[in-house]
Amino acid sequence: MEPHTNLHEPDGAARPAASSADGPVDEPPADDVAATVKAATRRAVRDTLPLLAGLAPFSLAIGASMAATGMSPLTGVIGAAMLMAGTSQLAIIGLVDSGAGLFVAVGTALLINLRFVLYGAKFAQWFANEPLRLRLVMLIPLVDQNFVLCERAFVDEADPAFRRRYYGTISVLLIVTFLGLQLVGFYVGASVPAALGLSLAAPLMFTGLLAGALRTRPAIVAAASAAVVVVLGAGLPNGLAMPVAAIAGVVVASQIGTKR
Amino acid sequence: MSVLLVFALAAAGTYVFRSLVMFAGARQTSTGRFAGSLDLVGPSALAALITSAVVLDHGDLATPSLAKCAAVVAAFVAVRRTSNNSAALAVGSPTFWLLTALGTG
Repeated sequence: MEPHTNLHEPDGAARPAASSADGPVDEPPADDVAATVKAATRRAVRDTLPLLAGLAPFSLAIGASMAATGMSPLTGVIGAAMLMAGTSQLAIIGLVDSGAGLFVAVGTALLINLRFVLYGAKFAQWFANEPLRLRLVMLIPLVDQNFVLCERAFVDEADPAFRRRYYGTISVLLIVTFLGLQLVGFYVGASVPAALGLSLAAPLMFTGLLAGALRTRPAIVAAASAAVVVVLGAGLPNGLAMPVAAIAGVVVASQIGTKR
Repeated sequence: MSVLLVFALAAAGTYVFRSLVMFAGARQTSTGRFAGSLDLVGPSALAALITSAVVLDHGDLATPSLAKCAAVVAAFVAVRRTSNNSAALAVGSPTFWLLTALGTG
């Protein structure tokens, strides 16, 4: 890890700048801030590159789906940029293509994205001391990948400058890859053999993240419970099984954790 | 129905989800049981995403292919052993290709 200021706070909230007794705020030296930002950028790139290898085939698959349904690439990419959530984007493409109504298509996407409420809760902790306008912008690209990477990195890193740059760098890399490769997938995706398993890339990428996240008993219980609930909830309408399982995993593991 | 309208409404709703807790009060979420529960969101959501991709077909339970299951298991083991996320695709994808080529997909 690169050297930089490390202000660990157990609750995950960024610590505000310290004040002197006379009132003026003690700003960290500019060199320290520059070093922190540089370190955050490097670490973000290093941490994100493996995920991009998984995001790339997933994005290509979405682009290929758009092409297969006759959606214009402009519509697809604008939609992707607004939504910033690939799984629900795929669901919308499929539902609209199959003639589903507005309510069903939007409702399904929202059910799939219900987990973002939980991600937003963590985001609110990480950036509690940032200006509201900045937070409102930073929230737009909050997705699975940057959430998981930040959750891991911010355990040790509470410096606000580090957190901003780390999150921002990851988000930019994800956005460029996600949108750019959807366009590529739109034009060449149909020529990629199904045997390559493009659709499996995202689950494999998530598996890698999960493997790194299962470090405590409650985490293992949460993951196992969620997996079981997906199976039990199969057949629930509108893709409800996945978000219900995600929430159920947290609830079950929290209950078990309090009894220990 | 305009596809863009669907995307716009879904995007607006999703943004509300992302910002809900921030407006509900981040301070209240930084302490107590709720804060502890948030640490479980990642593993839970990831497990739900992976399981959905492997065992569900358009929302219904489907017999997962051996190639898919083996690829996920291989990816998991590879990352646990190497602590390197790249190993998930580097090991999982070839496992899937190999088993598919052998006709077990």
